[in-house]
Amino acid sequence: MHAHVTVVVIDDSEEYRLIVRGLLRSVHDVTTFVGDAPSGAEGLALVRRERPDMVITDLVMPGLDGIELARRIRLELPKTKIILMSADIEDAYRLMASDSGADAFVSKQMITRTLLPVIGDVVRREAAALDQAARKLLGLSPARNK
Amino acid sequence: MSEPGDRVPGIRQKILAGHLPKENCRMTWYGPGTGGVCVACEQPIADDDVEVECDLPTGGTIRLHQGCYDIWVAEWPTCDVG
Repeated sequence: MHAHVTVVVIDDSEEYRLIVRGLLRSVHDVTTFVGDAPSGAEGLALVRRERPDMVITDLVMPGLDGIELARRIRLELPKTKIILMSADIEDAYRLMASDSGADAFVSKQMITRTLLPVIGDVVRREAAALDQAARKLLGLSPARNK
Repeated sequence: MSEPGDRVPGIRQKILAGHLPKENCRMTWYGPGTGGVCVACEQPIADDDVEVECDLPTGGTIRLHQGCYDIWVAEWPTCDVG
């Protein structure tokens, strides 16, 4: 993952694509929006072409839904981070979402408050994993700041 | 709910005592509070609070206020003892 996080947005709702793009614009110094798509199939083609660091996708879409999309991205591009979003989530969907390989889920009810913290959290986890690997390779003890 | 800075010592204590895990979440779920109790501060998570559910890689799920979650993820990597 680079200092600039490249992001693809997939949602059949134009309104939510615009909301997410607007939120990303407010952190354009650390993220780069590389494209959006109105369906899972078009989104997968975009992801294959752009190979982004992160995909933010709706969960419930006609055709290829967010869960199947996440599974395919995880297989093809295992380093790409995946954030699912939905208005609400039923238990059955939750189990499938949990097994899809996605990194995070954000409720659309709170998207303006939570999307940027979620992106930050996912990036932090990746950075922590890389730091842990680097420390192991260098023979250093785990981080101990206090 | 108390100020974030006031919650740090209690959350560190829980990490050091083994009552909060020292590992990154496998998957996180951000949404409105569902009326449960935050595992970090032991206060209810109201429906207008942001609740973070953390699926742990070793199994199980913990629920926290977003503010408590942020403190926990910042503190646990610094809580190694020995």
